[in-house]
Amino acid sequence: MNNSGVLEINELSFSYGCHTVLDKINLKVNCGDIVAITGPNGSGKTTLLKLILGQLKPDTGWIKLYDNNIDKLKNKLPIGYLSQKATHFNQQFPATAREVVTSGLAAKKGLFKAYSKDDLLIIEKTLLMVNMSQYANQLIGSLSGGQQQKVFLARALVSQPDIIILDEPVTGLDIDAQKEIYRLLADLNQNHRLTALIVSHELEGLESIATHQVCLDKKMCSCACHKYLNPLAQIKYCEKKSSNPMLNF
Amino acid sequence: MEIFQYDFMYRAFLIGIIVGLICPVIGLFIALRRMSMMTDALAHVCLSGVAAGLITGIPPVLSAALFATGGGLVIEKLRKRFSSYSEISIAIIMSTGVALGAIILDLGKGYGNNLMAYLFGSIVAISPNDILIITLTGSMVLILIFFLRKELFSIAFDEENARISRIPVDLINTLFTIITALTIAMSIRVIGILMVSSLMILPVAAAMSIAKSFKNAVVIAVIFAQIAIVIGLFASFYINLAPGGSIVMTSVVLLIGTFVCKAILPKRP
Repeated sequence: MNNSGVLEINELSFSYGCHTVLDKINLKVNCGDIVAITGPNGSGKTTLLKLILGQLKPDTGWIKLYDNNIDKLKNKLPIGYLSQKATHFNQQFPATAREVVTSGLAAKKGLFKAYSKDDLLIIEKTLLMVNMSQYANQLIGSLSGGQQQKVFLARALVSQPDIIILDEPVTGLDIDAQKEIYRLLADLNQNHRLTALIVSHELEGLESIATHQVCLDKKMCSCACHKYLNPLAQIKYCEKKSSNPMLNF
Repeated sequence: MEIFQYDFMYRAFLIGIIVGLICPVIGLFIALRRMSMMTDALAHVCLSGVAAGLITGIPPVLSAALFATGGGLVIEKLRKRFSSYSEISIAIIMSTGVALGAIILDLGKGYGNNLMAYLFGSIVAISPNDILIITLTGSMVLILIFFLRKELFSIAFDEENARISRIPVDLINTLFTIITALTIAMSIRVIGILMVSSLMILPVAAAMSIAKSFKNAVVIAVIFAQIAIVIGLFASFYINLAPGGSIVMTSVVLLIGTFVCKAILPKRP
């Protein structure tokens, strides 16, 4: 067994000029965890995500994915990302749900390489996982907000990442669609050991699926409320693998 | 048919088919990235290139390609500098292109008639040299688009996500700008500097309004462009119209036709 987490953050600090946003943050996400990061506006949630995604460089501290420093993962980042602005795309874009999901594999395949038959199979299975197979040939703009979000979730999952990061995944969705997304995430967690980091400004709804909750409050990361909320998702350390630890297609 | 008894018409159709294949494909990515005005700016830079070519004796299509590539790369740089007002970069390059062209032409007086063939397109002026340059460049452009199609799609759909997933967005954008510049430069022989952007956008606009998928949009846009070019060249030959004008007006009719058909025909479930 390996005690390293999927994602580890150690003594991470970041400032915009003289304004400290994150101060010595520590966080460890293990395989099968769903970690909810909550906090008010301006608490540094987005900055933390940008640091994890490599869009910003920390002042001090480090971030590791399976013992690999994130700075060294230059060409392929094994993180799936669902942006808060994912559904703010051009609604008239002439692409089907399947084409959008397929685009999530582009970086993993690399330049000048075409998708293989295995890739196409993975795309179909991912669509099935998010219950969107029957809508695969529909234009993305013709789907409802909740369905679009499921397609974007599939796009984040299709590259079989080590962890997925969801930034305010239910913002702008109606109550039913929010429940559907959370139910889907809980299902993926239980059946496919989905490891996820979910950032949200409110905990409502999220608490039912989160295995851990972290409150980010301006300069410090308070882990006082760090607890296991979902008894079904016990902490288990995964064997360190070369490929995807959570999605076994 | 009388039209095919002339070598220059064969050349015009050959170039027209190549241009009609590439322009809508490039145009689709440009339109989806909301950069339609970039094609106009690069076409205006081609004016300087053509003027320089006419004066120096370099094949104007080649000098236009060099100028347009340079202009495209400067647009990319300026877009980053004015990231919140990226359209400024287009205005700067467009006005610089026209101004430079006017100065170069003024320095070498007497090229006005030749220039008209590049402004509005000319089917009789296409030389065997043009055929060689355009076939080689067109093949290279098509091969690059084919191999970069998945990255171009990802960037067009969601550039932020493409960057996060570590697609080399800046490299692809630079390559795409060069491809666009080369496409515009080789298209001006048939369709003309003033109308080349129309061939990139009009078939795409028609295709986007009826396409059921991205692949579908590419195919429809290419078919519409080919129809416009064939009808435009026939009209140019038999009615003695400027080829650029007749090709663009055919594209406009096709666009209106798709809008009308879409409004009349019942929606499929």
